[in-house]
Amino acid sequence: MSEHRPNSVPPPWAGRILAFLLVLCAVLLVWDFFVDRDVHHPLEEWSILYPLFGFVGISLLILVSKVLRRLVMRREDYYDAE
Amino acid sequence: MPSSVPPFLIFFIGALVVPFLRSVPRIRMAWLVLIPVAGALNAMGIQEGHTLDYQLLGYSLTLVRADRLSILFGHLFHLGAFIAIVYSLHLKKGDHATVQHTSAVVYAGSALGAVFAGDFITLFVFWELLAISSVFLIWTRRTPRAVSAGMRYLLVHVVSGVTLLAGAMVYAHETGSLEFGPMGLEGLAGWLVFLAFGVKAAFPLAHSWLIDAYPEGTPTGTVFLCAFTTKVAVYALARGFAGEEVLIYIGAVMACFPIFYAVIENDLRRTLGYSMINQIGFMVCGIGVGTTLAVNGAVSHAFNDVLFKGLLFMSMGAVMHMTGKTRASDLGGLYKTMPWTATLCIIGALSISAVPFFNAFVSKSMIMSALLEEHYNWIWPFMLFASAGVVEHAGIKIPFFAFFAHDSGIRTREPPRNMLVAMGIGAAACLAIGIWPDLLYGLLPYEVDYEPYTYTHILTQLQLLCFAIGAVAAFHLWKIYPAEIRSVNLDADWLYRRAGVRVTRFTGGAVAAVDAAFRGAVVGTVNKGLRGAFRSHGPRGILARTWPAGSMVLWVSVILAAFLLLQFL
Repeated sequence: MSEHRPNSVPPPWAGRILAFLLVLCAVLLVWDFFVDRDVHHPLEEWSILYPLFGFVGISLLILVSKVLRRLVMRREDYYDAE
Repeated sequence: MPSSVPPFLIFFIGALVVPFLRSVPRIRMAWLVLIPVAGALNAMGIQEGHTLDYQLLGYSLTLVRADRLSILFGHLFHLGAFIAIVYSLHLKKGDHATVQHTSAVVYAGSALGAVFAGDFITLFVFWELLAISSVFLIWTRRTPRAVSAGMRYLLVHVVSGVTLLAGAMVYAHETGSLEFGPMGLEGLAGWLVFLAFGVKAAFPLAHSWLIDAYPEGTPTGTVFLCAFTTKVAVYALARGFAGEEVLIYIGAVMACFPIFYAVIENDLRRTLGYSMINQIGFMVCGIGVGTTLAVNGAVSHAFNDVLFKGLLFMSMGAVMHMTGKTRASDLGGLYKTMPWTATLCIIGALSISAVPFFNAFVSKSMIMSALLEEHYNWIWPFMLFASAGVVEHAGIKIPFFAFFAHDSGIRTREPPRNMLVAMGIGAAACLAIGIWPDLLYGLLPYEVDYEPYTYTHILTQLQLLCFAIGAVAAFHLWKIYPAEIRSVNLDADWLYRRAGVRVTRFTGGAVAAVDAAFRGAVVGTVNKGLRGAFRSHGPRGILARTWPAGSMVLWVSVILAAFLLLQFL
């Protein structure tokens, strides 16, 4: 095991994966408007429910977590000091 | 003559032999692998309806009760033990191999004993054995943090066991029976037993033992830990409290709150601990719904969780074994030197995220469908949110920060072959169940009338997952994703690790002050009395003087004169 300086340059295939993800999201979003899905919950009638839950849900999760971090984060030796 | 022996017995006998094989490591390896294999062959011979009773203090107790639920968990624990044992075969003397192997085998046997126990006393014995045997998998890491975390873990689980015993005693008093079956939340007994199960299942506020102890275990020990304790609790809840509505709300809280902590947690094994509570939340919720579909979903998700969570813990254990690090802030870029481990970790991540053709896809959806069938329409969105949250912390964060993200500069190599083989078995099982769900559905306690691969389910799940991944990617690109920082996050364990200590110190100080004041006052009074006595009776005391005879005659004359005077008056 050897140590090197950290390198923040993303691998060359990262961009291709992101582009693929973007295309996939677009296809899945559009697809929903052209098919009849089974609906069990009133919210499911809304075509963008799952994309919305995915994107907005995770966005809220991350933003709330940032606030939570302000409240609960302490130094790593917080408990060791006691 | 029974066709099979109690499943735990094979493990306990196996564990007894392990210490004698310390000088022959190859034979020990073969013996260790043989234990779960022999156990599984024995378990296959256990027929539904088989029981093994014994008498104790006038009570009829059941050492083995085999029905579809206990047999399912029996198969699961044999598979989990086999994978974890293969994963830990490389352990050497310096890793305290004998202690780790012996305690791990006893631990697996105790889990089997608990799920086949037909009465509360037998359950209690194995419940406590689970705690006592597993704590060595934490202590053998030998760091000060591991030692103290192990002690806290042991205390919490012993309290859970004592609560279970108290519940069992009340139950026996109320009903005259010790049989462990569906009991519900009626009366003190029900609540005590529920609480005992809840502690082991990591209910909210009783969850922090898991977050505290699991990341402090040895790399191999944590793989065992994640397989058994909480799953025994899930089994016990499914057996005793299926259909209790309160479990739906507890499960929803368990599924939702840990995902916030998982986002900001730096230690990747602790992140998996939060993820574990999140997944148990789905199981608890399913048990609370209580329909055949929901209970099938809960126990099948428990089965799958052992596989995918085990796989994720194994991959992080492999990283820890090779680099000595598990903090996201210290890792990154390991895919270059650990490509197989990275690939297997990604399979675990896809599985836990419930991607189609991976195992969680065929189990978690049963719980979600059961919620809708029973019209828990306002709980369902929370569980959907929790499902999306899994993608963030377990689906992306774990593999991304360990193997990709920024290049930490660490150059290592793949872990020992046995670790890769164990991870390979776990990954294959995740895929096999995902592709052929009937492999699992055929073992479930109730007949399965559910088809996971519908057009709607595949489309909606892909939408949820892809947009969730998109949100994480966007937050990374916009550089507002929470940075990985070496830190500790306060959780419920703060109550007993910091607040409790302070309250104890304050209370102790106040009691000591009152005690000191009281003792001081008593001692002062006694001293004062002694000084008075010393003044009068001491060597120079007035009552201790040696009076001359003349003086005495004088005083006698005075007293006589006074007496005569009184006579004349």
